[in-house]
Amino acid sequence: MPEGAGSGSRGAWFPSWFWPSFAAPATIWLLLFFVLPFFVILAIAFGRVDPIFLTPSPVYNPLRWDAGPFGDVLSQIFTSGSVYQSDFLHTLAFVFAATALCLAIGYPVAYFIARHAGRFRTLFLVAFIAPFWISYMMRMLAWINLLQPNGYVNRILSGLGLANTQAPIQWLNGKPLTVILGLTYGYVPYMILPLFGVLDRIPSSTLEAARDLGAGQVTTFLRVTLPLSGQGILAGIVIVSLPMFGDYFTQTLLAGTRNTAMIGNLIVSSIQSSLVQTGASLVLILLVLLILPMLYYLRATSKATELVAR
Amino acid sequence: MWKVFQSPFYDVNAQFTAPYTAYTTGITWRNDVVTEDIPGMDNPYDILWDAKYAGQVHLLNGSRDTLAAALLRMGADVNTSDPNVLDQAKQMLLDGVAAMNWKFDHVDYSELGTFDIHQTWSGQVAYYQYYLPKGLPITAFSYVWPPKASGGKPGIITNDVFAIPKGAASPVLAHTMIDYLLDPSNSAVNYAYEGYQPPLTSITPESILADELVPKNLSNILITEEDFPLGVQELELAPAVNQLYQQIYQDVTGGA
Repeated sequence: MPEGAGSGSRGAWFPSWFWPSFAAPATIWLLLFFVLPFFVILAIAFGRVDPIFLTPSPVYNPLRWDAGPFGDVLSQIFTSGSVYQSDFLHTLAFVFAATALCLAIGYPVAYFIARHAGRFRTLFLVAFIAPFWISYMMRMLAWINLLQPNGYVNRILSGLGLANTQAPIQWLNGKPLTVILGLTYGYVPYMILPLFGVLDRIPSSTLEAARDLGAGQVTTFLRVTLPLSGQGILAGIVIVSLPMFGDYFTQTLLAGTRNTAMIGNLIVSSIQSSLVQTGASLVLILLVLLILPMLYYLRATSKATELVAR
Repeated sequence: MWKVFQSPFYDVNAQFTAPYTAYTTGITWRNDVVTEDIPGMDNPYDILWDAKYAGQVHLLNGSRDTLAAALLRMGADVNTSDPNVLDQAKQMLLDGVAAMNWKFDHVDYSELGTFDIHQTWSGQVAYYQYYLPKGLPITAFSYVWPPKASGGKPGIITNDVFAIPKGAASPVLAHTMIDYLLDPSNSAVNYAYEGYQPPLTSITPESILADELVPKNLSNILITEEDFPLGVQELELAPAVNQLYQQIYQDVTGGA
């Protein structure tokens, strides 16, 4: 067989570049639709602004980039009382709370489907993933009707004696809780799927072995199931929280006040005005913020893979 | 066509545009909840800052309209470029945000039961009647345009226009469409759908009320040609001033 060649099945000969070339479409896609647009964002954030029309003038030569406007935006984030800081803090708080809720709701659901649904497993899985079939926007619009002062949420709460029909709860008037619940509802299916995948792969024999060794159900769960589902939990948290950081639609529809505004709202507001350079800077700052958990996830996954390989 | 649009200040001799709709920016409120006599107030804009209604007041979500609420309350020019005036307006809005927790929107028809007071355009009020939640009658809403209130405070009046871009692919078709939409009978039908009043002499407040396109309790959303001298119009701002307005709007709303 020629040096550097790979062999396919039944001794077929392929050149060394053959199998790596399968990555070409994805690589080209990534270059065209991520790397290039990202470079344009960098060119705008570190570029110039037209002195007359105040429109952004991208600078594509990195040697001529100006970090001043970016630095201004960054310093605003650390300035107490600034709108940038408050939006970042809102975002961190809402994402943390919503992710925690997604995990609290998604884990039991995934566990049930993986381990106890029996022959109805597929049916349950389809039912819990059914919200995927409807666009995110439509699901949030539906919540506007449910959360209106005379909507079903208030009616149910009144029926349970938890709300007053004469002074209904104004869910849609800038309540952080509404935004958190909206984010949770929108993203919980993304938590269920990776958790289900991991929990489903835990061999029953492992759990039986734990019980044979005297562990009760709770101990088995805490010392066997939960640690083995760690990667799924991590994957679910990453899949759920990363898009939440950039979410703006949920807050706009369900709240719409300064007290609930998120960093995604600030980015959209900047890009839709003449403050495009500010928007580009905020995108970069958000990207750096999100790279950190992503790197942690990649490192944790890589370590787990190494452990399994040994 | 109303005479005021036959040679408007922005297009002398109407060479390049045709008007589409006219509307005012005023204040809408739930008369079954709000006890104050807003039309009788010296300054109706004060009601947008009334802490009694904190959490129940919405402002329009645009840099010009949101800032206009403060500028008009101050009696200032809605097109001002004076940084001191704009700074005062910004502070007034920041104080209002802190005290009132305003919601910023204009898509009211999906949330008609969620506010007691709203800074609104007259046109959107016209179609409230089609999106009312159960149990909420249209008679529960009232509207005032401050220039016509007892205090005579300034208020915005403005219009949309048709214009055909120089490089339009089908300019003849575009002209035909404009002619069609400005035909009185077609315009009346369009008004029934859209709620924003066409500036045609054949479509008067009396005819609109007679056709029951607008409920009688909201008759003061209707505009006549004579209203234009009473109001102020939002003009195009210099780019730097426009950016200042947008920055203030962003600082006030947080992007919401």
